Amino acid sequence: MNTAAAEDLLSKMEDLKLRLSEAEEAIDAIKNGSVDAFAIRKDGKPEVFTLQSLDYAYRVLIEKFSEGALNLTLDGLIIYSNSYFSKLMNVPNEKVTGSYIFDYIAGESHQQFREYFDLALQGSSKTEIMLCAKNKNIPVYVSLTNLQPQLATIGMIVTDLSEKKQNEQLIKIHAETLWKKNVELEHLNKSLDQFASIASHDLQEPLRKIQTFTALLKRQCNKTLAEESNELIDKIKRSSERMSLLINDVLNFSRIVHIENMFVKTDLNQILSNTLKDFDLLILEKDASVRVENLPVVEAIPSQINQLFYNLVGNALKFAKIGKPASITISSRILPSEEAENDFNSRFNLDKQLSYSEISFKDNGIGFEQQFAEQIFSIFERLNNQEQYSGTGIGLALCQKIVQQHHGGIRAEAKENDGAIFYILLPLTQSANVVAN
Amino acid sequence: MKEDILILIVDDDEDDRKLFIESAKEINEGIAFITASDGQEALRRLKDGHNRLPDYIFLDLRMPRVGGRKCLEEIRSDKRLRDIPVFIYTTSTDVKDSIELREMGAVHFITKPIDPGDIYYILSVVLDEKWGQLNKKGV
Amino acid sequence: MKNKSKLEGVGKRKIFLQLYITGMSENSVRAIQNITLLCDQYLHDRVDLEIIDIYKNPSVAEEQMIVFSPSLIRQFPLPKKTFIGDLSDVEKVILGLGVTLKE
Repeated sequence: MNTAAAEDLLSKMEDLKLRLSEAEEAIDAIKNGSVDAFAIRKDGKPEVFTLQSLDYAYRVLIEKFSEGALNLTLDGLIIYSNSYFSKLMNVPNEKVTGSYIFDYIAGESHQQFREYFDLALQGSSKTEIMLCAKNKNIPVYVSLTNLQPQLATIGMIVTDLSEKKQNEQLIKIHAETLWKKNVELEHLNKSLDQFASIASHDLQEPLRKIQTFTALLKRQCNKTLAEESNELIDKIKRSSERMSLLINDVLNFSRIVHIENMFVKTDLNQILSNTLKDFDLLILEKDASVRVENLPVVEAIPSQINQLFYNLVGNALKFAKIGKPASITISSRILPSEEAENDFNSRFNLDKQLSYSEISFKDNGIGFEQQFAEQIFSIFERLNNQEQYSGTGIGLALCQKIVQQHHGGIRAEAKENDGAIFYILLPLTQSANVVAN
Repeated sequence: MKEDILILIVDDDEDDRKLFIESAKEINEGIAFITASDGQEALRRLKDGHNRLPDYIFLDLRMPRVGGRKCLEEIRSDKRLRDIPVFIYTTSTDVKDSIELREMGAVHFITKPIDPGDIYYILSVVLDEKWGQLNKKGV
Repeated sequence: MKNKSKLEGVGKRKIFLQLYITGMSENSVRAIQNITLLCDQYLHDRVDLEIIDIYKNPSVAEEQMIVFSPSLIRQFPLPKKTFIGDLSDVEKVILGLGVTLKE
């Protein structure tokens, strides 16, 4: 053998040694489990072969997660079920494997499940069904996937909906309770309304008598009684008139709480112009000038807004300064959202989702001290003597109640002897759960 | 003004009946009155064939046992009684009542005035011959 | 006197490594941990490391005859060198790669 051939042989041997050692290494690695899989060209195509339970981690995942997982044949035979599913069905896992999935579907869901199972053969499907575990029905959400071509099976994931259903049931119960309470409340209001109606009538009766007989007395004794005595009779007459007004006002006040009232789109300009017509005569008498700027259209109860405007305009005219022509300005603006929570408006707890219109009634009358600005809205509160200015002390309380009924707010700014401004906040639209009746 | 007019006043309130009668007498002393304190009593009187039928009926609404509404219904459905003009004479100021009762056949809806003096004026209009004649023709 | 690796002179050029794994196995996780350790401690920015999942890329078997997972292949500098397993024998890997051990 010559040197060249010998060298060639040696180098080939080195090569073989290297390849052998590499192969031995690979075999060792396989033996001691430090490799999981390999990729190799088989029939010209690269393929991956798994050596040990590489899918171990996947198995752990499927076993441990809180969903039911099953592998089903195309006939619905369970070839694999994770422990979650068998626990859910209250059946030992060994029993589950080898049984049919249909054994666990509640009767009412059988047809539906078959439909979706067939659907899944074309790809995947999802639906809500009832499972039955030892006579207990369990609502679940199932997801079926055809695992072909890799596997001739259908994979199924089961999600327990019991808790969700429980919650839904709770919500339903609460909604029903709420509805019942609402009905109760409506009935209560109706009774209160009836009561107020009847009470006011029964109260008015004796009053009427007082007024009637006082009138009679006056007529009979007018010429025979002393001036003083006639005055006394007049006082009785006036008091009973006042009382009659009071009863009416209280009745009106109590009526405002009607829940049945429906909110409708109301053009405030129209309401205001009607109100002003009612005061035609008085406006003339007081030589008053009324300026009206455009008011918005809002969702409201027209009769109540009518009452509201009536009281405010009435007050503006009533408290005009003597000798000075009354000047009233009614205007509006959309309340900027930043102002909804400022010092003036935060107490009204305005709804951030709604837009509000701020309507102002400004007059140049006798005004009042700002410190009384909240007090005046209390029922029966007055800042003036009965002799100077007539009134029952209910007007502004009524305004506040109306405004509250509309989920808005009312406040006043004034100076002693320098007029007053009443600000009313009304939402442009009422929130959904108010309007729906 | 006819002599010999007979008016039936149905009202549970003694004072109201008295005031009414006194005012009517001021207009015409010759007017005769029959009174009833509720609808039941009134109907009994009316349906009794022995009694002369009144020329006018003044009917209050809120009365015990049988109220004005029921009484009016009965009167209007009775062939013998339905031609008698019925005036509702009540404390109610409800427009709804006024419309409803006139639809039922009441000739007029009168709210009792506070000042009894006004009763005189009301009655004098109501009992005016012309008015009375209009009603006799059967409203 | 330190043993100068014949490759040290070529140390200026980057070492190109490929780590083949299967994503879900303990071995793969360990291999990744070990190569990261290796790179941080000894190789720093002298190495370009590519991590390949053989399930997602079985075509790597086109070039090699067989590719194990986990395994580390030095593609550059030549000759190609393969380390099979989770690379827990760090010294062996280092020496095999021909990198000088820092002091």
